[in-house]
Amino acid sequence: MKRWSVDLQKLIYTHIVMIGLPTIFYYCLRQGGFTLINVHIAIATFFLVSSIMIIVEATQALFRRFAAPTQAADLDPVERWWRSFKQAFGLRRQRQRKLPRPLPRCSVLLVAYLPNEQDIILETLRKILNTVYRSAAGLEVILAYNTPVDLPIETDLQRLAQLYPEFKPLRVEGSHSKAENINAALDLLTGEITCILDADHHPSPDCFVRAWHWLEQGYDVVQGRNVIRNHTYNLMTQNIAIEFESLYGVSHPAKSFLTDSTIFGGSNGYWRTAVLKRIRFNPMMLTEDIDATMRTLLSGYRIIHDRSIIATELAPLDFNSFWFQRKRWAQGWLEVSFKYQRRVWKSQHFNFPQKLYWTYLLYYCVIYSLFALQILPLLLSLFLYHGSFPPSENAYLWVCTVITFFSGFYQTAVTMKVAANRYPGVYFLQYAVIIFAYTTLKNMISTVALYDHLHGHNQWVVTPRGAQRNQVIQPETAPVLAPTASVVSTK
Amino acid sequence: MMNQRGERSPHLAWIDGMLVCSVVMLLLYHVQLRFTGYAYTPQPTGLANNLQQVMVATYRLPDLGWLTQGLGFISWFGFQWIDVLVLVGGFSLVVKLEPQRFLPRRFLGRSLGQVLWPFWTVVWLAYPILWAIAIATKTYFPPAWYLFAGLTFPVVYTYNSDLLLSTSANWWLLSLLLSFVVIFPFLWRLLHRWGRRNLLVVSVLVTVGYRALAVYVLQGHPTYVLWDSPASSQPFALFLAKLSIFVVGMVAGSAYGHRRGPACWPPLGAIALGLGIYSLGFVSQFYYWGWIGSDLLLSAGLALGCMGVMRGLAQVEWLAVGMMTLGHYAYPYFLLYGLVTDRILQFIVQGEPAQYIMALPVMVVGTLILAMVTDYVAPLLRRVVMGLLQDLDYVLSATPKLQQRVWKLHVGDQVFYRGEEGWTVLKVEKLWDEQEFILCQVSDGQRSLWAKEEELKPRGK
Repeated sequence: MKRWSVDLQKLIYTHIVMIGLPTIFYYCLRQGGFTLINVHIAIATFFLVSSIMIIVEATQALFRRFAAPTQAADLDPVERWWRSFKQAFGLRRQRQRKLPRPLPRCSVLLVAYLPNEQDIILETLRKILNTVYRSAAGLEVILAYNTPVDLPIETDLQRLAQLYPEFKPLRVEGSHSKAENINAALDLLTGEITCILDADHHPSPDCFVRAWHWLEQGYDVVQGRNVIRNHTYNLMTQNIAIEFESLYGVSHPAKSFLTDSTIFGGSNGYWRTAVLKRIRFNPMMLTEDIDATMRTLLSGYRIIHDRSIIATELAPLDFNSFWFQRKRWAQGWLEVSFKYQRRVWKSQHFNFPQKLYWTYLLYYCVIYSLFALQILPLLLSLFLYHGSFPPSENAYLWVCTVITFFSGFYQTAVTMKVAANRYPGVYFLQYAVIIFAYTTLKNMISTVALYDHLHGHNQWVVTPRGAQRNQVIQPETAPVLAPTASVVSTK
Repeated sequence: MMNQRGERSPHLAWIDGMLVCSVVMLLLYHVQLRFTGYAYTPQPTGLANNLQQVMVATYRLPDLGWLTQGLGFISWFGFQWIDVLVLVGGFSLVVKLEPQRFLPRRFLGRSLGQVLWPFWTVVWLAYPILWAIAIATKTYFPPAWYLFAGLTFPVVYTYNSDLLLSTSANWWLLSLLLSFVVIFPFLWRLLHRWGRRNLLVVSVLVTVGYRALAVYVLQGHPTYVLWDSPASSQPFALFLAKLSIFVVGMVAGSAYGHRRGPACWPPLGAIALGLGIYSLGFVSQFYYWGWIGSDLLLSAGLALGCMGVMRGLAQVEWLAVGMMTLGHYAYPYFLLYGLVTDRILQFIVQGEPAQYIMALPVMVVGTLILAMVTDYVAPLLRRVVMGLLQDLDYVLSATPKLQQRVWKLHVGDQVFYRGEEGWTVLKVEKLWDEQEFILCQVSDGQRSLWAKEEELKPRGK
């Protein structure tokens, strides 16, 4: 298994460049009599903008539930005021609209890299086949997988296909990526809606019904909420669980609320199959999901986030997996930012607030991770010069600092309120305490990702699943479906 | 001298050796001149007088034995290696070109990029550092107009780069380099139209004629001489003063392409002839009349001698590898040495002879390390800047460019991938991105990868 320490050299190098050299630079300027207050204010402003965005997003996520405008025109003024009042406190109940058309035929497209995910795939299949509601028109489940060698689990999959006619395993020869697996399966899809799932994702039973509401209202893609189910494993999984609640419960819905556009996150996404077959996935991109998002939005299709459509997934269990997963995400976002930002500015399918918001998500986030780090050399140079940290008398800096810290706590509090699960309070407490260290770590990873991107290094490191061990492929092992098959057959 | 990684041939390792030797000698010359306060530059006062002056100046250098004295003596004439760089530049450009594939526009774009990107990298990174040093130490920092000229070069262009001199004295060569890059396609055409001999004769006549004019009519003096003349060194900073040196390099390169000429002579013969020519040039540089042809003789002699030595050394494999490795950094090394050595002399050596001796190797190696950093950063900076410019162009252009498909791809097609032959299309994937675009999985039999359709070309077209 590739160790994160292979990136240690890059980490040291990038941080010498990003922190070491600027520290000397700022120190020289301080020696020359510069106070550098303007530089400090500029960096603090970066933090302030991000913090305000976090506060706005969290507030939106707290008080709003629907991205689309509610049909309140036919209500009397008192009822309308009462609803607004309740909405302000997040007290309004979830309202299910009537379906204009019954749920059509649905497809689940499950994607797996089997040597890595052979331990968990059967559990996921059982979950989907046994729990997801089926429309009268039916459900199909396609497992698109790749594997470099024949595996005993493939025999199990064939047996499962005999038990469930709606299940089709599809081995994609020559595939090396998730995008290739999905593209290979697209021609087989017969449903009007297609749900894309990763091998570790367990969707909620009513996922298609909820997604269909939005697709019927003119949206083309619905992104659901991903929740960590192995959060009890260690401190890191606890932290990631809260981070995911924050992402899928606060940030992504807020995008929908604020701009009526959001991202497809790669899994637990519900597509109009016709749109999916047209967009397809790009195997040359590190984050093919974000790439598909941009192409979908630029082509005039609409994506919405519904946090009531829940799927559970597994968080990486060790730092090694976490490092490579986050580096791929960071580098993938960089790749997408450099590829699509200019087109967002020029696109007729984005209105001005959407252009502004997507600039915040793309280019601003790229430079934020670099600028945010500059606070360290600035403070280090101050320490070197004075031998201590003299308190600042600048009111603006204090305001920025307070708002920055407040935003982290506020976001955590809102996440606690809107969380899909009732987690122990200590999870939120420790998340609020370590959020700044955690954000710094992610900024460090982003810096290494930028290094890799500029150097054209774009290797995909698979996130280990299941037993979290070095996977040794042993084709001679006996099939393991027997107990599973019995469970299935007794159902 | 420009960076051309990937184009180096082991057979030409000696060229890299000459480049390394040239830039190190230029560094030593620069350092010695600054340390001694310009104790000696060649004067048009005759051989005997100059030898006397140079011996006096050499004895004033810190003495650690005959080696440092010898090196000190040679370093007074380190300026001559500038002309070796010009000559090697002409040679390298011709040797690396394929006559059938020469496109002036592509050559200009590529060569100007190879000159300017490392320069911009040095300038954009060095100015903030130099500014911080100047602020911290309350020392000299160039006025804003000269900084602007450096940051925007060659937008603010002068034929002798005088606006760059307040930052680094050796940057005067940049305008000369750009001049030769720009006129190279014209000279290349003449080389093939007139032939090597005719071009050589004409260029020598033009250079000698111009230098005679520069000395006797325009009343100037060579760039490396401290002398009181009405036109100063300005006439000698124009490319015409060194045209024949560049052409000699081109002609030698062209002959080398046919396995003829000086680059194919036996090393010892080249050294012997080089010494003879150099001796003539060495003597002539101390006389007015000698200024007319001294640079050509000195550069030709020095280049021949150095080539003989380097070709001999390049027979040893590890030395050849070393030459090729270090030769790659010659250009950024040249750009940096003035900045590095001036600061070390100012802040560390501070006129102390003992410090000077100890700082010499630090300056040589330190400049090399910074040259490596520059070489490493330049492509990254280029990518970022070009990306931002493309963004700007895309946003501002009225009609964004749409990809036009000129051929249809099928599974099994034999294609060129990024100009490389032997690839077969395994899979064709049609995606949508405001318009249809195609990705292909291609294989060369050993590996397969995904490529954009614009990276592929059908075989046979």
